Parts: sequence; C-alpha cells; structure tokens
Amino acid sequence: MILFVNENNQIKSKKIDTPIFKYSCDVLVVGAGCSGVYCAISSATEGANVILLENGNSVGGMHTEGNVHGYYYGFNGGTFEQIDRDAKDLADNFVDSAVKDAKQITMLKALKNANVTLLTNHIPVGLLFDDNGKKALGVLATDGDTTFYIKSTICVDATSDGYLIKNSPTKVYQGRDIDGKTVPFSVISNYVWNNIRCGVNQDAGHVNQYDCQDFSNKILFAHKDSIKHFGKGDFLNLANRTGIREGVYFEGENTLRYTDVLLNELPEKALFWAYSDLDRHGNDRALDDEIFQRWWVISNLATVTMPIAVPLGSIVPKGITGLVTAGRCLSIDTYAQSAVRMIRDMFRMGECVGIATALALKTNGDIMKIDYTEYLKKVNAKGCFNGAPDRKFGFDYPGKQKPYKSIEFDAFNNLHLLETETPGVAIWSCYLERDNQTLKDTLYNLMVNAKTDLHRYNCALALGNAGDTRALPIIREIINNRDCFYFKDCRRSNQFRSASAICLLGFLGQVQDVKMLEKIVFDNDEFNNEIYHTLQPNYLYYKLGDRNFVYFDIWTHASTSLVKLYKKLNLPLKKLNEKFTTVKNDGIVVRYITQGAKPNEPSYDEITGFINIMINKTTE
Amino acid sequence: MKDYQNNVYNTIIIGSGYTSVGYALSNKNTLILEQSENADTTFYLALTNFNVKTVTAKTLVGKELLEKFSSHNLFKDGAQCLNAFECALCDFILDKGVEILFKTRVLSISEKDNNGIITLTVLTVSGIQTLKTNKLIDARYCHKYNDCSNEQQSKGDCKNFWTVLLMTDNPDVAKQTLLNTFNGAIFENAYFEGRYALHIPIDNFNDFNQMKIEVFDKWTKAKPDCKILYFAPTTFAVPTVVKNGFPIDCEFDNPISAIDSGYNYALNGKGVE
Repeated sequence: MILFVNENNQIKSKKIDTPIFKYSCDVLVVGAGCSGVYCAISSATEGANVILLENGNSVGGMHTEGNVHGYYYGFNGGTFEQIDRDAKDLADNFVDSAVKDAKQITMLKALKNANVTLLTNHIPVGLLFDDNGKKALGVLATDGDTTFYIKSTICVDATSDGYLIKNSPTKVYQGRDIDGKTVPFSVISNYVWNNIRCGVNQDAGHVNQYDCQDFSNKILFAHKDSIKHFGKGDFLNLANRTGIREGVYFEGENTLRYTDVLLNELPEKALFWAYSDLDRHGNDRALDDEIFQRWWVISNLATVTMPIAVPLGSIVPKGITGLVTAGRCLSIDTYAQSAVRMIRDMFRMGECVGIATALALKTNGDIMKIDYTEYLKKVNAKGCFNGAPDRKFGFDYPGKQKPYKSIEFDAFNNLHLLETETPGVAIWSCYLERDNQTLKDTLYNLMVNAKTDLHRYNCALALGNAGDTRALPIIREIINNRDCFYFKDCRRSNQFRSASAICLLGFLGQVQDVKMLEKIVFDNDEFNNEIYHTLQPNYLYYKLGDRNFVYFDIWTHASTSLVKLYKKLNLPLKKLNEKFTTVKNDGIVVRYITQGAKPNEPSYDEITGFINIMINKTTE
Repeated sequence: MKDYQNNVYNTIIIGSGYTSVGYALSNKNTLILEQSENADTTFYLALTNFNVKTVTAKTLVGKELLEKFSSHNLFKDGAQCLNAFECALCDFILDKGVEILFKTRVLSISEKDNNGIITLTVLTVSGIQTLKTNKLIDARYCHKYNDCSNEQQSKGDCKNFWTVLLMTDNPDVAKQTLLNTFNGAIFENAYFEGRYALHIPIDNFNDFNQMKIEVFDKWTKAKPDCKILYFAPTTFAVPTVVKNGFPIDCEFDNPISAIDSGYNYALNGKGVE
C-alpha cells in the first residue's frame, strides 16, 4: 500500500505494509458540515456502513455553529426538509433564530437513527492507496491521543477545503488563474438584537488558507475587525470556526466551468442541480476572466440566480477510485465554485453523493461506473436531485424580499431595458448575440438617436459588449465624465458605470485610449477628482474594512485595461512596468485607497497584491 | 511561507490563552500552537461575568491589556461578556506581534536531542510541519472532550462543564427547574439583563454529542421557563486540584490576572503570587 501525506503543502508518499485497521467501513465521510452530515445519513440509509469523521466536536458546520442562515436559498427537496421540520418542532425551547442549535440536535438524532458512527475530534493525517496509487483504501487518522488507520471502500472528502484531496495524488488548483488568490473564509460574529440572535459575516480578505501563518494572522485580523460591530446589538460570540467559502479545486473526471453555466452547456450526467448566483467575493473584479467581467462588471448581473447542473464526474478525482468529494471542493473553476456552495445545495449535494457512494459499493468504489439510471431513480425519489426543474435564470431574493422574476436572454426583446436604470439583461443578451449584425446596427441607431444620457450610455455598453467599436466615442464620454451613475439591476454589488466602461475599454479600446487610462492610473492628481471624495456608493461594500472603493474600482479597472491595450497594441511594456514599479515604491495609490491601512491588513494586501500583479504582467 | 524547518523557537506553548500570550510577551521567540480557531479558549467558553472594578493589573502587559479592553469600550457597565474580549485579545496579539498558529494538532513530541532541542510533529493547515524548540510548555488542562493528548502533562484534576446561555423573565423559576433537572449544575447571571448561564457538569458522559442529545431531551421534558439563546461550542474545565507549573487560564477568574501570571512565569518561573 501507499500512504500519501501532505507535508508543508507537498504531497509525500511512502510504501507501507498492510496496517492493522482500528475501524473498517464501507463509506468514510470526512467533515460533518452541511454536505457531510447528509452524505453520511443517505449513504447509511441506503445500506452502507458509514463512519463520519469530524475535526471539531459538533455537526452542521458553520450553519449550526456559526448561525449562518443568510445563504439559505436554493432548491427545496430532500431529507433536509424533514430535519428542518424536526428542528422547528423544537423551536419553542429556543430564542427565535437560535433554532440552529436545535438543528444540531436533530442532525445528531438523524445520524444516530441511520446508524452512522460519528467520531468527533478526529482528523485524517494521511490517505491510504493501493500499490498503484489509483484506489483509495482508507485513511490514517488521529484523535489527538493516537494515530490509527481506518479502512473504507470509499472515502468522501466533505471538508470544504479539500483536506483529503490535498492528501492524495490529485492535481489541485486554487483561486483565479492570475494569482491563485481567493477570499476563502468569513468569521461570524453573533449578536442579540431585540431578542433575536443575528450574525455578521466578516470576510478575512485574500488569504492563502493553506499557509498556516497567513491563515492564523487573518483569523486574528478578522476577529479584531469584529470589534467594529460592537454596539449593533448585545455581543454574543465569535463563531468557533471559520466558514470556508473556497478552497482547492481539482482535476476531475468532469469539470464544471462558469462558462458552461452562463452559456447553458449541460453535462452528460448530472450529480444534482444547484441554484445560486455567481457569488464571487473580494472586490478586485479587474483581475477576473473576460467572460466573467462581461457578465458581472459590464452587464452588472452579479446577483442573477441560475440553476447549475453539477456533473457527476466533478466529485471524482481524475483516474482515481474510492475517493470522491461532497460539498464545496469539486472539479470546478473558481467562479463556478462561488455558485455551488449555498446551504441547501450542500445538503442536497451531500444526500446525492451519499446515494452515489452506496451504489458505488457495487463497483468497488468507482462512482463513474454506477448505474446512472438507478441513481436518477433514487435521487429523484428523495427529491434532492432537482428541486425546481422549471427554474431558469432570474432575479431571486433570499428571504423572499421580492417575488422571483425570471429572465430570458433575448436581445431584441430586451432592448427596452436600455432605457432604464436596470439595463443588465439587455447588455448581456447583446453579448450572447454579438454575431448578429442587424442587432448591432439597431443598437447603434438607438445610441445615436437616444434622447437621454441614460439610454445613450446603456446602448453604448450593450453595443460595446457586442464587440462593436462604434460604441467607443460614448464609452470614452462616460469615462471622461467620471460618470458616477450606479446601476440598479441587483440587490447588491451593483457597478459604477465608469468602472463598467473602463473595463469594456480593455477589450475594445484603441491607441488613443492609452493616454486617458494612463492619466487615471499614473497621474496622482486623479485622486483630487471630486467623485472620489463626495460620492457615497449606494450599495454596501461591507467586506474588507474602510477604504476608498470608488477610487479602488476605477484605478484597478483602468490598470488592467491599460495592460490589455499595451499588449494588444504591442506597445513597450517596459515603460508600463517602470510606472507600476514607481506606484509600488512611492505608496501614494496604496495610501489613497486604503486610507492608511498597515501591511498585512486585508485592504493593504489587496491593493499591494494587485500592483504586484500589474508589475508581473508587464515584465517582458 | 515561513521556513519552520530551520527555525528553533525558545519556547513552544501548546494551547492558547491569556497566560500563553503573557508568557510569549515576556519570552520572545515563543510560538503558540492552538487547536481551535480562537485565541482565548477558556473565558470564551465559560460565558461568565468579569467585573473590571475588582481587577488590578500587576504587570505592564496586564495594564496594557486592560487599556486595550478599555479602548474598545468593553467596560460600559463595569462588566461585559467575556466573549467580547476575544476580539480585543486578537487586536492585542497583533499589536504585540505574538506568533500563534491556529487549527493545529500535535502528532508527536520527541525527547530532547544532544543540543537540547525538542522536535514536534504538528498537523497544520499547511499539512504536517516539523517544529523545533528549546523548551516546550503544555498549557492544555486535562479536558475530557476538547483536547488532552497527554494526561501526564496535565496540570491537575478538574471538573468539566458545558454551558447553555438562556433568557428568561422568571430566573428564579427557571433556575429551580434546571437545577432540579441537572444535578450539580451552576446557574448564574450572564452579561446583560435577562440572560443567564447554566453550566452543566458533563463528566459522567462518555460522548459529547450523545450528551447534547440527552441534555436536550431532559430539557424538553422539564419545560423550564426560559429560552435557549446559545449552546457553547465545547466544554470548559474548572480545576479542582492545581499542581505547580505553568499557569493556565482556567485557574483564574479574569483575563488580566491570567496574562499577568503567564508574564511572570516567564520571568521567574512563578505565576502571580
């Protein structure tokens, strides 16, 4: 056998003799969070002998321990509904929203009723494979006192941050392509306000959660930052764990990409359907992928929700059997990962993985070989596969603040939206139909004949997003005006129109645009512009402390657009590199944006990290 | 990432808390290893009061910590929920540059080598790390459900409790019902009006989660006149027999005395007299 161990983020392997196993099971689920609990329950209900290993000493993860319920949207359907009902039956014993503690009790009872062996305070140390390194056979674990082996037919990594995957010979990735960064976790502060328990999510900024020093420092910062919420209510507690939003993702048998979702590419075999927006955290959208920017920044569709078919093969590391994932760690890209993490989705995915693992006991742990027809029959019977097959793209609101509104991306039918403060659906539709010359000519005529700035500017963004340079004069006008309009398509994360225009200029711009962008990026007088000091954003950037977000948005988008234009026009990158190096060394932009943050604070790290990326991208 | 392999710490302390931070401020090049993700793991769990008016700092770091608490307006009414102090402690740790690693598990501890160096194999979020130190302090109290990896190094004997925070308008009635239901439990005022903490002794249970189920079943049958606000995430220890050695937070009734004691221990091998 081969034992794989993660040593300082390097996978080490050594051959060992067959060990003595302290425990043996069919399915070993690691991580008793939202997906792990339901995976264990459903696998055991399907007849598997299941052990559930948990590092902490509770079940339900941040949902129960952190009182996180703001992400409780997604489809209904599945075993979680009964457990929710059982928890509600206990609600009389609790102060209103403290019913999450009741859910922990009902989860514990459900695990017990399903005969799941729950081992808390246990954590794997390594992963055991056959001699070929292709079939996982169990784990080396510790309970704090001793280390011992657990044998299993299938191991399920339900740890959110890919703890087992990182102990396996699997190719892993992390974060966005440009620098591998993520905004991986929140710290939750709980308060009591008007006799209701409520929580505040405190993002920890860009963190490498696999660097023990960085991880620990950012926990300290996030806990310290929670002080600013004192006084909102009676302070109750800091959740005793971080909520991992995004960890590693891996090379799987199938991969879910955000472009598949936005462009309606469906997998051959789906594990289940998730439902969410592309809920990307962090603020530096200027570093994101082109299509994502066209969706989020230029079209302003950040909070559009959509059904997402998660491929069966996205839980299976490529070429490996006996090891699958459940929950947030998938074969997926960083953008799609932000959409497959809502609480109900994690419940339902866990239940589906549990059923798949039970079926895979007939295929020696090979999920890709399970009888998919039988799988569909079982998950549909449970209701956890697709809770709302008729649901499409739409504007949805957690807590049912407003009625659901569906969206059709039909460019001609959406052109009327360009006369409104919510033009996003039309702007994106025009991108999807960018090969339609009639559409572009229509947009151009609408733009030049528009009677209001609002209509003209929206038409320019739509025409520009369709790739037509006839939009450029109006795009430049928006930028030159440092136009301060905020779109209103979304319930949060709306875009500042100048930032949208500058972002678009990166794809569409011409040589004469270089000077305009250079002024924004390298002329320190830019900061004296009134909009950076008088404009109050009408949306909430609550994540990373105090900073000048308007300047941050404009400056970062102008920087990346400038680099794109330099490359497109074959201009000398050396000159640009020197200028960004000066920006780094004089520290003026950092000071303007962070308003005095110190090194290692999230806002300081974010902008200095951004400048370093600009320097790297302009190094020839 | 830091090169831990080639670094030798003066001291590594297993277990975070005010005494550990106090020690680290007195003895530089100290690393604190903490299993959880909280810098304060004792006062945080107990959910009890601490009256600043009765506390006097006896060391410079104690005074500075007290000032830090005050600067964050934590003493509005003279007393405050100790959970809030966790945030201020983190601010203090950052100010002072104390080195701490969260989410760690010590897998093995070597004997001292010929140079007097102890090697620890530690599971961290970066995977397994090898850490070296001249001196090792185990600041974990014997803790039934939390972490007690080496009984021989435990400080003494203790009782373990699990805390449930509750709200009631009829504390006398609720108290009577709950104390009749849970033998040996302690009912006390928590911070803020109408909040109370019930500390339930749990040493007779073998499994923490089974205990939660049983406690809750008893609770629902007893129908106490109160509502549960919060279950503590884990248990806390109350020492019954304290032996000499490194002082541990649970031996103190407030964080200032604890940090004073850790600081003094580093200076002279003794806690606060």
